[in-house]
Amino acid sequence: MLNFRPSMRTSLGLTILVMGLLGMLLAVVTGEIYRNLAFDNQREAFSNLIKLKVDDILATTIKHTSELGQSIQANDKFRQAVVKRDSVYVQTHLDEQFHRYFVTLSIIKLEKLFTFDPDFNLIGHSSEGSQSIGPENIPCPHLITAAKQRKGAERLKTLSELCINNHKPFLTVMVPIGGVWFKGYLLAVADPSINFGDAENALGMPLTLTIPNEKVVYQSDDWPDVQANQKIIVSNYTLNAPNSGPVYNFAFAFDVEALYNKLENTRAIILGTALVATLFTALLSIILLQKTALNPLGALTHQLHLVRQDKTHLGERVKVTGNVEIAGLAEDFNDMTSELHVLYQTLQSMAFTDSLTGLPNRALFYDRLEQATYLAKRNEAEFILFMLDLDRFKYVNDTLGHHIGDELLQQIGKRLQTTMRKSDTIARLGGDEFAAILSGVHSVESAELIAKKIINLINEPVIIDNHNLTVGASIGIVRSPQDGTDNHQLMQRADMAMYHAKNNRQGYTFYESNLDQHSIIQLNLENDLRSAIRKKQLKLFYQPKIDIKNGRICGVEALVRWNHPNRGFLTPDLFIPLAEQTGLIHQLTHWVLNAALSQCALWHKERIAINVAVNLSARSLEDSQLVNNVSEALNHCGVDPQWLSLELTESAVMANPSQAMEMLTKLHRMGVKISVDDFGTGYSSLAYLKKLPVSDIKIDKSFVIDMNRDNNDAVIVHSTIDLAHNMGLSVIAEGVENQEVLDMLINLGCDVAQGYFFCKPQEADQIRTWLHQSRWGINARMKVV
Amino acid sequence: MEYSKKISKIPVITCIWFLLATIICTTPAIAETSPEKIEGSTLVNAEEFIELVGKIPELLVIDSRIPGDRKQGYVEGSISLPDVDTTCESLAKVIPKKESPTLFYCNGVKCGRSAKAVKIALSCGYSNIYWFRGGFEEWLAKGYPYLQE
Repeated sequence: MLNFRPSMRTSLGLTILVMGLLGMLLAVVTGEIYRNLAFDNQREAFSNLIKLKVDDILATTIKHTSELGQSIQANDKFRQAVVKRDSVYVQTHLDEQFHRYFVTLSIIKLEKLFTFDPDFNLIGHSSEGSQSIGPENIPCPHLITAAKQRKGAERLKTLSELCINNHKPFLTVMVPIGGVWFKGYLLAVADPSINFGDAENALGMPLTLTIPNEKVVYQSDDWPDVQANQKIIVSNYTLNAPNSGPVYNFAFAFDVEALYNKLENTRAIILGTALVATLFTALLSIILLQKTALNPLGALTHQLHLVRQDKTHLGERVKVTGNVEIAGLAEDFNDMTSELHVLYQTLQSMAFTDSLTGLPNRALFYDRLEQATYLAKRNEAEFILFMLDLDRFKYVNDTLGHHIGDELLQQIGKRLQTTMRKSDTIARLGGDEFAAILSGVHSVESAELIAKKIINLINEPVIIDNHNLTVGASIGIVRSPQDGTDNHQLMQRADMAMYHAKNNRQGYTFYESNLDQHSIIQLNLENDLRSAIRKKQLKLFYQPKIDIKNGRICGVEALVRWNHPNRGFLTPDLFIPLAEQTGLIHQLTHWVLNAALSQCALWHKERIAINVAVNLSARSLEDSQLVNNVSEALNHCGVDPQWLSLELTESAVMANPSQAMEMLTKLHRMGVKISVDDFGTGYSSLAYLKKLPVSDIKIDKSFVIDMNRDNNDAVIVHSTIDLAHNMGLSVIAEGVENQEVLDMLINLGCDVAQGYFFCKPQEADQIRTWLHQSRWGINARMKVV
Repeated sequence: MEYSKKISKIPVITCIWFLLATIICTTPAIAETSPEKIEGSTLVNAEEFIELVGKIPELLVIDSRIPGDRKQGYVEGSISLPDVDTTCESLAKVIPKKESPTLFYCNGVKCGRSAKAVKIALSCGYSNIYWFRGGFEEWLAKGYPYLQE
């Protein structure tokens, strides 16, 4: 397979070259044909010339012979002898005359003379001349036959004939003797070869004269070697006699060197012209091709390269030039590039615009941020980056539906846009997260002013479908170049500041380096946590739950502790959020479930019938494998589901109520108990919880700890217990730290109590001891299931 | 001015000369052509001449040319009597009777000698006169034999 792809220029050049070569070949062949034709024409022309000359010589010879006849009969005595048939005198006279004329060889070469009476009876003939000719053998007998047929005045005319007799050419001429008084005929027989040989002088060319048997009767001294010399051509002419056919062949050699050279020169001129014409045509074609095709195509290709390198060149039109096809192509290209330009702009706006709010999206924001940091790096411009997250948005979304959430985001988006200057960029990064670049703002005061303005604006209630919604905003603020010039670093730091603001309910927070250190600790913790699960550095602590009605332990809450190799024991609030953020929470939950149930199984073997409670994270409800994992752990440890309680904070339940409902229903059907932890800190209502398969609620310790001193807390606890009981739910009170609180709870009819008053969280071994020794332990009533 | 006038006269004179020369040269040719026929004589061509001899062997043939012209060749048997010498007397010497058949010829149609001689013979009272108007020119052109002195 040939893989040769020549350029248009090469293709055309080669084609023209081949055509040129063919043209030149044609010129050479035509030249050759033309030369042969020219030579043939020369030959023919010469043949005609020879014919004329030969005819002329023949006529002259006949004339001369005829004149000889006139001259012979000029003698009166001869004429009288003819009349008298005096053959003696006649023969004598003829012999005399023969001698007289025989010497004039250059004019006529006489062979014989005859005399006849008017009836063609021979009177006499010359005894001189050729001995092969006699009265019985007179050459050209047709002449006499023709003469005999003549009558009247015709008989007085001279007759002649050329013939071959016995392989020898002869010219016979019959002249009447006498004038009007007709007396007889004189017949002169001559050899005309000498006369025809004279044609070489007449034409000035070498001659070879042959007779039909190829015998050369005359050849010029300067006859050339015609075989060896191409520049000599031979022209032939055959002289025919009416009665004996071909008599002589005249071959004239003529030198055509001049013509030959002229033809050679002509050929050279034609070839040269063809070459010049070919080159000129090639050049002209290439110039034309360059102008009409290659240049416009080059422009198109160049434009395509530009577009490929940079899409902003889309829509730029190329100049429509060249021939019809190329111009058509260019026009189509222009139309296409215009359409693509529009399409590209649409795609770009789709790619860089948040479809919900119409604000720039994350991609465009990063692009702008990159530009801003580029300028900041060169200290040409400062800017401030805001990272903004709405508070309580998820709640709105989950409780009122996505369409309300979307509407809310749109409204907030509009508000944010009106706050910003045109030179600023406000973008929606996703969810309820927004970010802004404020260029040219560098003072903390200005940034604070803007942040406050934004927070106030967002705090304004939003009315959607008769819902009066109020959300808040947390803003993290970084300054560039002071706080960094790297995109990702700035975003990370803004994020950090924002979370700080959110966690501390500060509204806005400027980034500070200590936040960073905190985050570095977090980062290390993340890595450590991964290995901790693998290396079993985690430990479970258990805190007993006391059944208030009989004063004995009814269960324990499993609490995870991390025995960090460098930091010692870490409490869950230090690493659970990290586990939630990184997704490690699922592995952690899995580990806790198995460890707690294994311990539970051990206790059950020791005939200690207690319930074990495991805390679930809000993220755990998003884990589709949770139900399976719980089921597998129960099976694996051989624990009946009724001995397992799963504790969820009310915010975890409320974060995604529908999902929580589905998940918890499955667990409930399995026989697992569900507790709502930290009740009272969130926004949920008991009415809503009633819909969930919840068996008990745990009142947050913040209400319980000081309920003996704070009447409000006591009222809350009281009403919560009453309401829960009305709804058929058990109530567990956390944070019981003294007898007084316990008494109050007993009075209020609380079901279960938990707190340092009974026992602080301890490891399994210590708990075993406690179970056996404490007055709240298993020995309180010695009642074992 | 004088010089240019002289110069301009030269072509005019030359033209007049050419014109005169042309007129002079062409006029005699027209004048020398002999008449188509002569009343009282019988006009013959070469063939009729030969036939005539066959019929009338005693036919008298008179060559009216001057001797210089006769040297070119002549019809066998013709008697030389140039027109300038032709008179009733000279004719009477060669023609036996007034009714003897006699033929006159000269060089050809442009030669007026035979015509002149025929007219003289007629005026002399000869009654059987033949005129070979084509003359020796026709004779030669038709390839009939002739004699040369």
